[in-house]
Amino acid sequence: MKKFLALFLALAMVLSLSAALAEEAKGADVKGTGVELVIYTNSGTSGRADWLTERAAQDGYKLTILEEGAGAVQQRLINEGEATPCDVVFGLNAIIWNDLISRGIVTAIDAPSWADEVSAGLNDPNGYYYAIVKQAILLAYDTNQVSPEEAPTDWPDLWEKEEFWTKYESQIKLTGGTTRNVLAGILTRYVDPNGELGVSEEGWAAIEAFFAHGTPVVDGTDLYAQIVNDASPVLMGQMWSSGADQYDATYGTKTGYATPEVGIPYAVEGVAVISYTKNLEEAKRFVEWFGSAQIQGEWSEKFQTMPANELAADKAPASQVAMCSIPAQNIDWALVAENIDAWCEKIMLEYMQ
Amino acid sequence: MQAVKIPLKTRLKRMTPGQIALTCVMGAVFIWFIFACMILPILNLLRNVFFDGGSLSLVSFQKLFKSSKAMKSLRNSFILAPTLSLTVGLVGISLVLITEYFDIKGSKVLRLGYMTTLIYGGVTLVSGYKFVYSNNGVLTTFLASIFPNMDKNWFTGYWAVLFTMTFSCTSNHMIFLRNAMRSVDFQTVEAARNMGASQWYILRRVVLPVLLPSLFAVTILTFITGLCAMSAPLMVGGTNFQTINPMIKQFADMTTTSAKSLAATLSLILGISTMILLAIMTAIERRGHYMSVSKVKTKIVKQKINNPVVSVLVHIYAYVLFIIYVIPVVLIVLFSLSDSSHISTRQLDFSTFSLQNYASLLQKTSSYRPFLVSICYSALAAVIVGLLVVVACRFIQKHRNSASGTALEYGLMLPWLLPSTMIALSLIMNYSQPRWYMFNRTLVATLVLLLIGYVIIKLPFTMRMTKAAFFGLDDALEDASKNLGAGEFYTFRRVIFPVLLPTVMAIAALNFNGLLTDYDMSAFLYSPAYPTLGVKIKSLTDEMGNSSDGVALTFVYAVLMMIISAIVLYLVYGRGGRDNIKE
Repeated sequence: MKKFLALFLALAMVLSLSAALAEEAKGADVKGTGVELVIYTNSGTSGRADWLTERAAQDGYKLTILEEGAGAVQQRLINEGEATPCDVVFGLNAIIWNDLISRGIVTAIDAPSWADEVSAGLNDPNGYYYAIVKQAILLAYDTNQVSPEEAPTDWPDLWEKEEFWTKYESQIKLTGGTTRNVLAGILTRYVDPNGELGVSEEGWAAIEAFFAHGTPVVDGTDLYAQIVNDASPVLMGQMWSSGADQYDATYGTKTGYATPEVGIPYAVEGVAVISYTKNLEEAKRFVEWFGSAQIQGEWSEKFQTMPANELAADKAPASQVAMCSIPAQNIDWALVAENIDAWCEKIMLEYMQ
Repeated sequence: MQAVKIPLKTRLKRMTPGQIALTCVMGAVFIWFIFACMILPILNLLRNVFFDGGSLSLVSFQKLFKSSKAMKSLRNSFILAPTLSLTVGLVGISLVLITEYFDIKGSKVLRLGYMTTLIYGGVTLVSGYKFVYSNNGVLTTFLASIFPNMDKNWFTGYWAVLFTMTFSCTSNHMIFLRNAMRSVDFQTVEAARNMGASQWYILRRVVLPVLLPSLFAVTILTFITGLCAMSAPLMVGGTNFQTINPMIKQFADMTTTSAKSLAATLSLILGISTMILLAIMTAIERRGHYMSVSKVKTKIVKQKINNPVVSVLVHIYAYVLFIIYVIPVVLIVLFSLSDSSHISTRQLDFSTFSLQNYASLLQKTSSYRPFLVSICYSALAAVIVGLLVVVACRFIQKHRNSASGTALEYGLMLPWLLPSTMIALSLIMNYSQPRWYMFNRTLVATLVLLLIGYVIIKLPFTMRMTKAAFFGLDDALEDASKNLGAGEFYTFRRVIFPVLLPTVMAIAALNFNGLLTDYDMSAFLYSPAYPTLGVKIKSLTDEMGNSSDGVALTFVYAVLMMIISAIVLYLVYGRGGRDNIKE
C-alpha cells in the first residue's frame, strides 16, 4: 500500500511538474484528469450540485457531491476524521472554516491564480480556504410595511427601542449559519477577556434583551411568511442576501435592510482541500478551476448569488451587488469559532424564551 | 405453559449436535451484534462525552439544573407523556371499537380515514393540522369571519400539542389493538350476553381484558412518543409549551464536548425513564396472562348499539373523528399542487394549482434517485430487523425468566436509551477507525454503516411489538405440533411463524414507512454517492441554498411518500389483514 502510494505521489509530482513545464494553464483552463473527487458542501441545493457535476464533467472532473446543511457537513468531517472520503469542501462560513482549521481538517494550499481577484479580507490569510461566494447577513424588513425612516438602523435598536419589541423574530434554533453570524456580530462588540466566555456582562445583558423582546420563530414557517401574515406581529428579522431576493419574488415583499455603521457580518462561502485527501493534485486543480472568474461568473448567473471574485461581480444581480457593498463588520472569526458553541449553549440554557 | 427450569446439563443432553451448533452460532451472532453495533459505540460516545480529560464530569447536571428553560422543557415532556398516553389510549380504543366491534354505518370508510396516520407523520402531519387550525388556517379563518374578535392565535400551547398528537399517534392502535380485537372469541361475548350481561358490562369485562396485552404495548410506545415529542411542540407549542427533545437535538448538533454532554445527559434522563416504565409494564404483563382460553375461536360479529340515543352519539363522534383525521391529509394533497408562497401563508387558491412541481421533480434523476436509495435501505433494514427480532423473541419465549432471555431483551431495547442523532454519532465516531470487532474495517462512508444504523433504531419498537405477538400465541398450537412428532424448527417454521406472520409483516411495513423519510440517522451516516430521501427533503428548505419552490417541493415529496406508504401498507397489511379474516 505504502509503496503504491509513494509510486502514485511520485507519478503525480512528475505529472504536475511536466504540466508546469508545459506552459502553466490557469483558472477555468485547468482541466480535470478524471480522478474521482468527493466533495462535501452545504451549497448544493436548488440544482447547484447537479449543475456543478455536469459543468465540471465538461472540463474533465469527475465529482461526487454530498450536500447537507453546514452544521451537518462540519460534524461529518469532524467525526469521520482521517477516514473521510472527502477531498474538497466548499460553501460553509467563516465560523466553521476556522473550526475546521483549528482541528487540522483542512489543509493550506498555495494560492490559486484567482486568489488576488477576490475582494480583500475574504480569503483566509494563511491559505486554508479561499472565498467564492459572499452572503451579506442582513437585518431585513418589508418596505411595504416599514418605511426606511422607521426601520432599525442596527441590531441593538431592536432591544433598545421599545417600538421594535415583539416586531422582530428571535431564533429558537441556534445551529443555523445565519443565526450564528448574527450572534457573532452582536457578541463580538462586547469582547472582554475577563468576561464570561470572553464576553462582558454588558454583552450578555444585550443578548438577554435581544431574546426577551423578540417574537420566537415558529418552526417550519419562514420569516417572510410571518411578515406578510397579519395575525403575526413579526415585521423584521435576519436574512441572508440571496434569500432576500428569493423571498421577495415569492411573497411580493420588497426587502429593506439596516446598514449599521459598524458594518455587517458576511457568511463567506469558500473552498478548501481536506488534509486527508488522497487526491491532492486533482483537488488543487479543481480549486483552481472552480474559483476562477469564468466558472464563478457562470455560477452567479445561474444561481443569482454574489461572487467573491470581483472579475465575476458583473454577472450578479444588481440587488446582490447593493447588499454586498455594505462594509464588513470587523469580526475576529477565530475567536468566534472557538466560542460560538459555548455561547449558543449559554443562550439556550439561560436566555431563550 | 409454565416455563420449567431445566438444568443446563439436561438441556444440552437433549439437544442434537446440530442444534447445539446452531444455538452457539446464533448466540455468537447476537452477542457480537449487540456489542459491536450498540454497546461499544455507545460506551465510547459516553466516555468521550462524560470523561473529557480523564475524569468524570458532572458539570452538565449543574448547568441543566440551573437552567429554568431546560427544567421547564423537561417538565413539559413529563407532563405530555402520561397525558398523551391517556388521550391516545381513549381515542385509540374508541377507534378500534368503532371500526371492529360496533355496527357503525360506513365503518369501512371511517377505517380508511382513521388509518391516514399510518402514511404520514412528523413535520408534514403537523403542517397539515396547521392548515386547519393555525392563525391563517381554514377553520380559524372561517371562525374569525363569524366571530371577528376571536384570538386568531388560539391554536398554540399545551392543548394544541396534545390535540395534534392525540390524533396523530393512534397508528399503533389501529394496527395492533385492532388485531387484538379480532382475536376476541365471539363465543365469550355470546355467553356473557346469554347470562344477561349488559353491552357495557361485556365491553368492560369480556372484551377489554383480551385487548390488555396489546394495550400495554402500544401505551408504552405512546408514552415514549410523548416523551420524545419534537415536531408538534416546535410547531404549535409556542413559548409556553416547549419540550426537551428539540433542545437535545440542538445540543447534539453542536460540536463541543460540553454541548454533547448536555445532550447525552438529557437523553439518558429520558431513556432511563423509558426503561423504568418498560420494566414496570413487563412486570405487570408477566403477572397476568390475559389470553382467551378458547381453542375454537369464532369470529366476532359486530354489535348493534341498543340504546338509540347512544347510537346516534357514537355515530356523531365517529364522523367528527373522521373529519379531524382526514382534513389535514386532504389539505396537504391540495397544497402540494400549489406554490411555496401559498403554502407558507396557507391560502388555498385553486388558480395556483398545477402539476408543474410534480413534473419537474420526476424528470430529474437527482430527485428520484434518493427514492430508490431510501426504498432499498428501508426495505432491507425492515427485513433484517424483522428476522433478528423474530429469532430473538423465540429465544426469549423459550427462556422466559432466565437471565439470558432478559439480557437479550434489554440488549435489543438499548437504542431507546439515546435519540437517533446520538446513536448515529456513536456509530460514526466509533467506526471512523478500524476496530478488531468489526473485522478491522473502517465503516465511515461505506454503504453498510447506514444500514446498521437503520436496523438499530428500529429494534426496540419491533422487539416490543413482536414480543406482544409471541405472548398472544396459543401454546396449545405448539404442544399439538410437538405431540404429532414435529421437530423444533419445523414447528416454528410451519406452525408458529405463519400465525405471527401478519403481525410481523405489519411491523415491517411500519418500519419501512418510518425509515423512508428518516433524517436523523441518514444525515451523518449516508454514503456520499447515495443520499437518502430524508436528506434530500431536508436540504430543500436549508438556508442559503434553497430556492423559491423549496417549500412546495417538500409537499410534493410528502405526497409521493404518502402514496408509497399507502401502497406498502396495502400490499403487506391489507393482504395480511385478509388472511387474518380467512383464519
